[in-house]
Parts: sequence; structure tokens; C-alpha cells
Amino acid sequence: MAHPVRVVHYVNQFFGGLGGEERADTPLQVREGPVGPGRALQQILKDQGSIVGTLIAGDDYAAEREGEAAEAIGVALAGQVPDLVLAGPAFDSGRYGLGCALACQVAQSRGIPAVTAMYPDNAAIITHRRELIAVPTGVDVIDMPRVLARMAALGLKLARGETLGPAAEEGYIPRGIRRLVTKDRVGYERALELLLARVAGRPYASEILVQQYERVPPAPAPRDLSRATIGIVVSTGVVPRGNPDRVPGARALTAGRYSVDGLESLDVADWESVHGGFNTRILNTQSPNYALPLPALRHFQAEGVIGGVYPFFFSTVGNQAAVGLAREIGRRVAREFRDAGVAAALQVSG
Amino acid sequence: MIGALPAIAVAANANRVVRGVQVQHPCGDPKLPPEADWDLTLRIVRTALDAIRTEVAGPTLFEPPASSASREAVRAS
Repeated sequence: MAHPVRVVHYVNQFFGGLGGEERADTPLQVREGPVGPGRALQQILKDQGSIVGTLIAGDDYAAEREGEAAEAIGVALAGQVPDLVLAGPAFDSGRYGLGCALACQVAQSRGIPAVTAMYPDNAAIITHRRELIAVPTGVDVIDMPRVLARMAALGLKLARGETLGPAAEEGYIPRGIRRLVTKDRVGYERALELLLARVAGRPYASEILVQQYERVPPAPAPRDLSRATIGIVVSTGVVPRGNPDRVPGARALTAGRYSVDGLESLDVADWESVHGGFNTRILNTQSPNYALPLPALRHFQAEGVIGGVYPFFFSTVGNQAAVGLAREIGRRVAREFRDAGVAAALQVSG
Repeated sequence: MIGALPAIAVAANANRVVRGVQVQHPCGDPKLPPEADWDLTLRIVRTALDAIRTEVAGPTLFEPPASSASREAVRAS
């Protein structure tokens, strides 16, 4: 292209310079030219691209008022007429990631190529993997210059109408799109080669990528629990009968929050498990306490082994739960437990 | 955490894992007579509380003791 690519940059309230959490509900604002990290992005683009405008939206606004936000983004893009939309980077921020995903989707629906960047386990990737071209990032903002450079490079390619190669080659998060290719050797030959390389300690590249789970440093052990409050989290899907929050039997996005204040035991008449991954007959006809040992905890409370049980427990369904979403749930639960002075959490899985 | 499939939990790097009975009833066993079932539940949850009070370096599996009764028998001989 002879003329510089017209770019619109999407950022959240923090990177847009409006403020922190307290401004998370800010509706979409449109600014001329680059803002915040957009300035560094413009420097990277040089004369190949020109950031004609910046869209700033609060994290909560974008993540929770999707319909409104989508419409506002659409109107803004119609006004700016960009050749390319760059969103983020969102790093590990789930709500910001969802905002970036929304911006990209609106752009793409109007025929405008879009590139974003975020941590591969960001909730937005879990839910929008197929639709996004996203540069993988770590969790550290210090990586910003490298990430912006990658976003610019991929974005300019797309804006010039070039097709992207496979994710591993081009450096974006795999979208899970499978294309059939013919390899030069049959499967068992390649498998044996992988095995021999692995046994010999030589480098090898697995053809199927297995999920790696991050390591979390263990919390230090409290010596004495006699005055400690224990918080309960379950992925066994225990909910009030009737499932008022409609917790799904699989692929849950959130957790329910229910009171056990003053309860010694869960009565099968009042509670059920909605877990769709195993037979819940015993829990639902005999005792939900098999999946949430409230009577045992009350027993230890009465004996003075523990100080008490946090009055609210969190319940989700572990069946096919996405790692990124499970982490978001865990974070929210941990925040409430920590703010309430809960000493330890007891989690029950099937 | 208490879970009936501890191998998965340890592989996913959960740090304090207590073996549960079965997926359908991790914290007890409905096939046992009520007293034995309750004893089992207490052993499992006590193991979880002990695990909380134990320093660990990484993913660690804690096995609830087989039974309070059998423990006594072994020590007596």
C-alpha cells in the first residue's frame, strides 16, 4: 500500500489514562490519535501505519454491557474508517481481554482485520479462540514493547491483504483450526523418531500439544486452625434445589455463591448437584454432604479443631471447565476469602 | 482439596491433595453402615485439615488413614 494503513487502537480505562478499577464502568470514549501505549505503537508503525483514533472502554462496561459496547464500537469504527484495528495488549486481565475480543469481533464483522494480544490462558481466548488473531504474551507488562511490535507486524500483514500461515510460524495463539497437510513420512515413523529423541534426551517437537499447568507456590501452613475460618469451594456442582443461578452441567463460566450460615448439614430436600459429568443419584437422593462435607466441618468446629466455617461457599461444575475460566473463578473466590480473613480453603472435586 | 481422582489433581499442580472415595461420593461411602461412613468422612476431612497445617514444597498427595480401628490394632501388637 502506498499510503499508511489507518489504524484504530482499542484500550481499557487504565491504559487510556482514565484511572483504575474505579473507572471500570466507563462507557466507550473516542480520542483522536494514539493514547498511552498507542504512542509507542505509533513509533513502531513509523510511516507504514497511522493511528487515527483510540477507543477507550472500561473493563466492566466492555465485559458486562456487551451489546451496548459492541454498538458503540461499531459506530466509532464507522466514523474512523480504519484499515486495521489493534486491541490491547490485555496480558492476563480477563475483562480487558474480553473487551479486546469484542473490539476485534466488531471490526471483523465490518470487514476490518483485527489483531489483539493477551496471555494464552486469558478467559477471552477460552471463549473466542477461533475468532481472534492474538499475539501470545506473558503476564508482565514489561513485555509491552516486544508485544506491540508483534501486533504491528501481524496487523500490517493482514491490512495488506496477506494470508497468515500457521500459528506456530507466524507467532499468534493457535485458533484450533485444523488444516489437512501431507507429511513426508507416515505416522509410526514420526512417532518412533519422537520416542528415540526423547529417550536420548535430544530436542523434539510434539505434534500434539499437551496442556501445561502452571505451578503455584504452596501457601504457607498455618500452625494452628483453632481460631481459623475455613472457606468452602466445590467443583461438584452443589447448588440449592432448582438451581436458581442456572449453573450449567458442563463448561461452567462462573460459580454460584450460597449461604451455609447456621446450617449443620445439607438436606437433600434443599440441595442438589447439577454436575453433568458423573451420576449424581447418591448426592441427590441420599446426601449432598458427600460432595460438600459440611457436617464434618461443623463437627471439627464444635471440637475446637477449627474456629469456624465461612458463611458462604462457592460452587461450580468442574466438568470440562476451561483452565482460564477456572483460574478467574479461583481468583474471585480467593479475593473474597482473603478480604474476609479466611485462613484456608477446602475444595472438593469429584 | 479432596478429590477421588488425585492423579489428575497432582498433575494439574494442586499443592495439597487428599484422596477421596469415589467421584460420586468423594467424602464418604454410602455402602458402609452409617457409623463407619461417618468415621470415614471424619478421617478424610481431618486429613484435609492436617494437610492445611503441613508445609509442602509442591504437589503432595495425602492419604486418609485406612481406619481409626486398624491403627490401634497395629500399635497394640
